[in-house]
Amino acid sequence: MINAVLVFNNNGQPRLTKFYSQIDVSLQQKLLNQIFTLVASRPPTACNFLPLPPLLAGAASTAFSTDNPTRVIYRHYATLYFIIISDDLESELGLLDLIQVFVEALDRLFENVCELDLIFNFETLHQVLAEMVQGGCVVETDIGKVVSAVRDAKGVVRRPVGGGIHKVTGRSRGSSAGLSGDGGGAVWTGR
Amino acid sequence: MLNGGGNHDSVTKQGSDWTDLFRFEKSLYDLIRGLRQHKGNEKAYINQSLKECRQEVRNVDGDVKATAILKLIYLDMFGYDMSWASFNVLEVMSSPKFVHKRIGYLAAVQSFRLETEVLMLTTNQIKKDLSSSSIYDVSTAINGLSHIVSPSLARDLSTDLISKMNHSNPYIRKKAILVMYKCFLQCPELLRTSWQKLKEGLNDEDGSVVSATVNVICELARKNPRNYLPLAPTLFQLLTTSTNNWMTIKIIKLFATLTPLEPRLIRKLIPPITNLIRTTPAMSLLYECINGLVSGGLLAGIADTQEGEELAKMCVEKLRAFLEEGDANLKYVGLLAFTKIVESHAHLVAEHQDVIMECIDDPDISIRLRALELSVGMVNSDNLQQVVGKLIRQLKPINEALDPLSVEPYAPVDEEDMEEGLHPRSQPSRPQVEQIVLPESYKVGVIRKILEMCSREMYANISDFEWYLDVLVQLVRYCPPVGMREGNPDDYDEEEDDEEPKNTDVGEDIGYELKNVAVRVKDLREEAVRAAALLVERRDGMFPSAGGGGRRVLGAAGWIVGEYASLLESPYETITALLNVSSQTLPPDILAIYIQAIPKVYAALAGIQYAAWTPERRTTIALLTDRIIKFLEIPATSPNLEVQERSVEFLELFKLLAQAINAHAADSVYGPPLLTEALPALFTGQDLNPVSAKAQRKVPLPPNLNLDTPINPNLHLLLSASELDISLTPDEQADYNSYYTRPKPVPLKALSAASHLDSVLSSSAPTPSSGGYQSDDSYLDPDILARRRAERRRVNLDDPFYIGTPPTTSQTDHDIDNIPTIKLDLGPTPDSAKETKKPKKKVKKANIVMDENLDGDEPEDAISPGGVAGKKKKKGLLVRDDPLKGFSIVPTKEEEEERKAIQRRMEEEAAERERALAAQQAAAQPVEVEKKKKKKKVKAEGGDDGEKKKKKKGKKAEGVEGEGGKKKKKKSKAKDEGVVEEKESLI
Repeated sequence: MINAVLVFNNNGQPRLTKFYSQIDVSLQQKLLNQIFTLVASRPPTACNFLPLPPLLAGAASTAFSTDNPTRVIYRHYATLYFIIISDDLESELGLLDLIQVFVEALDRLFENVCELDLIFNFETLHQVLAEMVQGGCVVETDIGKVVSAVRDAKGVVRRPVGGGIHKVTGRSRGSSAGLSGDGGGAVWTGR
Repeated sequence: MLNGGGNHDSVTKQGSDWTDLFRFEKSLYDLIRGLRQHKGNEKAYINQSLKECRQEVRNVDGDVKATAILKLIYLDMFGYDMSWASFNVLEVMSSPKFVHKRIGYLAAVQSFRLETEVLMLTTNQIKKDLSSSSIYDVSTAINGLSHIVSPSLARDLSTDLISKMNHSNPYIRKKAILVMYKCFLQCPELLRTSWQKLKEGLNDEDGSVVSATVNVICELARKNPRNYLPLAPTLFQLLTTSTNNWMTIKIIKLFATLTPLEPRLIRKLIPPITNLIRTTPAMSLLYECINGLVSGGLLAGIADTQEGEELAKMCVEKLRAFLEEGDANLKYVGLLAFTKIVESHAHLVAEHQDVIMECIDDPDISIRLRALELSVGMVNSDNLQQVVGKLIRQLKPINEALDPLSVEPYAPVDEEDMEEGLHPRSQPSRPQVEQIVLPESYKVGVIRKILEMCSREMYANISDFEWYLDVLVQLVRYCPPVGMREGNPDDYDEEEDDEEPKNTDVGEDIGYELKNVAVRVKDLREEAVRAAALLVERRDGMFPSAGGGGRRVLGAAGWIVGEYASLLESPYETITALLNVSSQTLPPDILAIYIQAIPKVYAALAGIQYAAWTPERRTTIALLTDRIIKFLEIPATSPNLEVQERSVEFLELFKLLAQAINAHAADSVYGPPLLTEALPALFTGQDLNPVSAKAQRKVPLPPNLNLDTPINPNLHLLLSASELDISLTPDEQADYNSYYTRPKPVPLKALSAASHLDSVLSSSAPTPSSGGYQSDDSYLDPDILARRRAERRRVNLDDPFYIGTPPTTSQTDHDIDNIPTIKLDLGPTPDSAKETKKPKKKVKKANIVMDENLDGDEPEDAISPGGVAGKKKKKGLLVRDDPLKGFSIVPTKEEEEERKAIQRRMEEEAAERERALAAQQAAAQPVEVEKKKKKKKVKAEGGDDGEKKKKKKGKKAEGVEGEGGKKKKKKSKAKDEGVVEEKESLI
């Protein structure tokens, strides 16, 4: 089961916190900080698996319950870190894949998504996630279905970002082409 | 794909929605904008906003209320708890507008807990939303429920949810099935009532629904896999036909939990999984297949067959490709999988040690740790030295210029940055970091792993114990300083208040190994003693101050030099080191060992019975005795009882000895008998042998042992007497203070022992020139190397075929005797015999003493793991209670009787049917097979009774219901049997 999905930026400011187990707000923040410290010190070439942060490590070492979160997986996109905490019933590479699907879905919804989009439209971020993961279980991995479900549910109105300064980068629009070509393509083929 | 039925009011209310959105948008927009404008004093701004929100949530206007909640959700993300607003959240949840409702549910998801009081008030609202005509209302409610479901919610909403499990729209079906899992966790009985529906999910026409069902069953199966064995045929079918990799992975994981219960599945699963491994282009699936083969015990199950060996070989080769791919993630998971395989197929993994060894030096610490873990399982006697050498090289201190604490800060985020599209960071070409700064915890880990891999299976892998001793000494120097502790503070609880945290210094572990070698490997004892003496004598250089790393090795070293004092090369130097003033600052437990070691070494030194009692000798020994007395006087007032007792005892002994020496006639031939006879007798006797930890329990109790009689019948009198007067005179007070308030030594700057030693040694030992080829053991320090070289030279000296450099190049006058010549007489000369006593390295197969036990083996689990069991089990941060653990779909206990009765009836029925069937069928069918089948059938029916009975309970319409159910079941049973038969034919 997935225990939590977190998104924060390069400064550790949260952009999305979703815990699938009920824990206190203060603990949530502590965990967020610990993960951020871990993740911020990693070079870009390092692998996407984090050692367990101290808050989780104590519990895992006793390893009595099989439900203990055992893996913290992250991916770094531009200014944002996407984190998934899960137990060992989820597949490591599969989760990396899931983050990719998440980001691609956001990209399709926002067209060339950037951090500001996610700040000002954070409910949409929640909606997309809810279409993919429900209560810690993955419910859908098909980008098309996720996107159309969010769109059809209406109410996704893109709030203008920064008074209409919507940057158009020179990047080609082909979202999947632009997003997934990061050398590790082999990992995620044939999803 | 999804129908538009959900857009119930999108057209009609378009206009008003737009104004709503505009209004609340501005508010959230304002909040975020404001937050960004108030950089530096966000706190004040947030508090102000929270105050406004408190007002706004009470507003009658739904829009204002919803907006306020939305803002609260946003602030909740930053740690501003919004649980106080739970009632208002409920109000927003029940808004008729979908946009509001969604905000309400989101707020509930983020802030409601099981203890939230309004939770019970949500039941009706959720019920209402579940029966809404809009699928988005339903899905929002389901998603919300998946977070906040409580036992009572699960019970009250179960009928609504179960009916949603075959909703006409797959979008709802998949979500309803998943939410059931969360309900099962809260209310396990639901699993029985909804099991039938859940099973149907596996045959759904929609892929997502099947995948969701597999997901739920996978989670459930981990709690109690036995329940789900009957699903094996269906799952197997899915495994072979599925095109959804996500689901295939889940199915493989599911099978990995089932195979331990049903070994026959292994044969069945091998072909399709092998096929997947061969053909799939998806690395994630490939990895999970291999993972499943290992963790499901599939590889181990067929390990001794030709086929199993080939399959394992293929897996290992695929994994090698993972490591060679160049992708850090693949490397990481590859190592993970290797670590699992190595337990059953160490020989296969060892073939790939070249790539694995590379990972040990990977710049990524996550990968290194994995490789380290793996290497412990992988080492054998052939590669041990190489692996250890590689690891020790990592520990070598590097340039101090790099400050380990400074983390390169990322550039501050500004608007520009945030507008950057979310494309993955481009990976710059790998920077040329030859040396990365390693955290101390990693170094400690490396040292522990080295010790672990060397001592595995009673040193099975070590062929050269001299090398091991050198490694141990080297490791002491690389012990990271013990300073501030990292890691979680929770560890503190088991630690007593001591001068020094014991658990952190790996010196302790190294000392243990040193001691082990000294005790167990008799041939090498001399070497071990030499190493220990070196540690004791060089202490000042290596462990300069409190907090220096590795100091705790001195406990073991002190013990060894004392216990084997007769083997010391230079006992006088050793005892001088023991008597050094700085010994007084050692931790008390080590000091106690030192105090015990001093008389032992003294006895070896002075107690030689037949040594001539020359005046010179007399003076030396008298002086030494005097020094010891001086030394012992200080710890005799130690607040530590162990130290105090030992030093007081030995102090008295040495005073006696001093008297004896003084009184002894100067012209006697031998020393005083107290010195030469009594003292050594204290410490000589039988050799110490390692004793098994379990041996003590086998010692029979002496028959006359009476534990009930008090040793001192007047104890209570003594105790009460001591309580009478404890006021101290000023004089006594001073004494008291000197006992109990000794100032602690001020810890100096913590330094690694090695760095200190380097400066000490830099003058004495020449460092090898850095140029030229690196010698094989360049990971060892120069002085250790020099000694090794000297030894090698000595061994080579009488090897006529070895052309070495002359021992000292500057020396011109060659020693004629040292030139090797071929001796003509073939008989062994006494000279050569003496030389060969020093055996050559490789040849020496050390004799390792095993643990002693009283009589034979003992059942492994006999020793009670009291420490582990007694410890309070910590619960994980993200872990809930687990009511599903061991929960059986089939009702148990109180319903057992009833179940049995039904089963009996079913058996009778089945038998009857069977008889009828048998009558119908021709005699072609052999009777044997028939019987077998019958049994199976009966069993399967017994398992199905659970749900059936539940239904009966509710309706009491047994006859009809039972018949209908049976017919359906027959069908699936036929399918089951097909597979069963197939399985049997395979075996």
